[in-house]
Amino acid sequence: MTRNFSGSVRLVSLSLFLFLLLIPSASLLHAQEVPRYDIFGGYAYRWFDAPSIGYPGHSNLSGFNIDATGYIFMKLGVTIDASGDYGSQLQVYNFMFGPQYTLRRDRSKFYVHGLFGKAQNRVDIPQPTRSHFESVGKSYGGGGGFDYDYSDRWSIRVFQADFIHSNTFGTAQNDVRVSTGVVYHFGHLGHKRKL
Amino acid sequence: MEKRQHESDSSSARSLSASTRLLIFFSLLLSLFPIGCSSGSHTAYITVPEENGVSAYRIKNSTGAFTQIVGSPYLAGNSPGPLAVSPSNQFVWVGNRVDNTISLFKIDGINGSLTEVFPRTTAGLSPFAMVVNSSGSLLFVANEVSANISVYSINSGTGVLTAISGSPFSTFPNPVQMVLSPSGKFLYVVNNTLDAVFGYAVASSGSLTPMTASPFTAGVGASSMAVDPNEKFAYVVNATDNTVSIFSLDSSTGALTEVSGSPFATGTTPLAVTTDTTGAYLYVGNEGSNNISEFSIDSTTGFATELTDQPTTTTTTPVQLVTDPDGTYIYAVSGTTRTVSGFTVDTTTGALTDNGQTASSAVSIGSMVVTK
Repeated sequence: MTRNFSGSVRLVSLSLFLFLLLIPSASLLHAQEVPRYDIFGGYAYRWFDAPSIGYPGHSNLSGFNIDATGYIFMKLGVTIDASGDYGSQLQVYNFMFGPQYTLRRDRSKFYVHGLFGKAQNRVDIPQPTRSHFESVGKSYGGGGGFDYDYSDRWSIRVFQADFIHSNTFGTAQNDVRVSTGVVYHFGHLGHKRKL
Repeated sequence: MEKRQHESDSSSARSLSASTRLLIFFSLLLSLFPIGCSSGSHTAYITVPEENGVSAYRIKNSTGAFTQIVGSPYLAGNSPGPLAVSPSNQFVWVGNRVDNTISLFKIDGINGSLTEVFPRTTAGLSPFAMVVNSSGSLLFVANEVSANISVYSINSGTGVLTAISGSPFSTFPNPVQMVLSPSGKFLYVVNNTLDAVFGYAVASSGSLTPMTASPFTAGVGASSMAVDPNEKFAYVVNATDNTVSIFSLDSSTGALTEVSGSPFATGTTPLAVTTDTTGAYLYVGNEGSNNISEFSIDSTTGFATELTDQPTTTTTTPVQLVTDPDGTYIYAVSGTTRTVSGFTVDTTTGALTDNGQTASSAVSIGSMVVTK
């Protein structure tokens, strides 16, 4: 597990490094429009607090993360977030929403958000009368990320990192989720501030 | 034109600078993940007869903390009591005292959860004690009502039990506990009616032959027994006498001879006994006085000397003591509080300290084992 995780970290770091090198040579088209809505979809990695349910160590899960953000003001919006992460025997889902605060500079967007909602976790353990155990509980968390515009409509979510606390199986889980993917923009709210 | 070029260069410089900062930030973020976080642990399995189940707990080596494994307790047969875990940590066998059967559970290699493998194996009447040999090839089950010992060969790949030829082997009525010597050569059954220990030589096939000098007389109320890891001494607690009888163990015949000075005084109503992993220290759980007596053992004579911190190790109604395979902890199963309490062993002095870690059950606890 440790080796896999270290490998994942190296891969992510290398990808990020290469991406950042490419930034200056990327299209210099300036996206002036500030969209009213963002739709994000991409890959999510989760460092799952498996010891809380009796596992000997944390579990590395992979899955998806999608979210939709509607902006009420230039800096303030509301995000709806859903993710599903999978590993051996484990399925971890979160359905949350909350406020998002955004700073826009040129083609970059930094944001932080707070999230509240539900977690639905499942562990596959075959029993005579059932194939798995499942639990639904409250969930909350917070985090932030960085988007880089490639066009008026599309951005790359370089990363989003969230701490997520859930209460399932009668115990508490404290997870870290890191996501990356693409963002689609639509609607019109205003104009960005140029550097 | 030059001005535009200058702005472009300036913008690129800003982007690079921001990129560098971002890279540093992201690296710091990733460094928050504790790489190599998996710490050592053991798994404890505890029968809960009133729930017809087996509870599973992860025990963290560093702290002794218990965490219940998801899905636990796992359904077993009717009124599960004794249980044993394979040395390979692949299987758990559980004796169902009302069903008169043995449940085979496969241990999940990732999280330690249990999945029962059917069909259940027929045992004698009311199986009450169970031990597996160190190679994992034989399982011994003592049956209280039918007063006999069932011996099974174990399929190393599947854990499936097959009764050996000649099984079950008779023993005297009212057996209360059974112990296998570490070498697997000798099997001892404590009998509460005769206040004695019946000894059996174990053949490689698993068949049992009563020892010539058996039974070996213990004190009044003989109730529980332990054999030290070096197979030099055997210990029997006597619940009515409030003593522990110490025997030297003949390594060739298994015969027990009480050592000079035995029996040694304990607390009130001793019902549980175990040693540390070196055999240098002996621990006796006193149900009546709610504490654990601690002794150092002379490795030559077997003479027991009570530790000077006595009687500070208190716990409520201990009825079973289990030694952690690493020798770090002793676990005390309570007969009344539905809990297992952890005690840290001082490997220098042998003294126990309550480490404050407990596993709680909704119902009373039957028996406990800890994986290696």
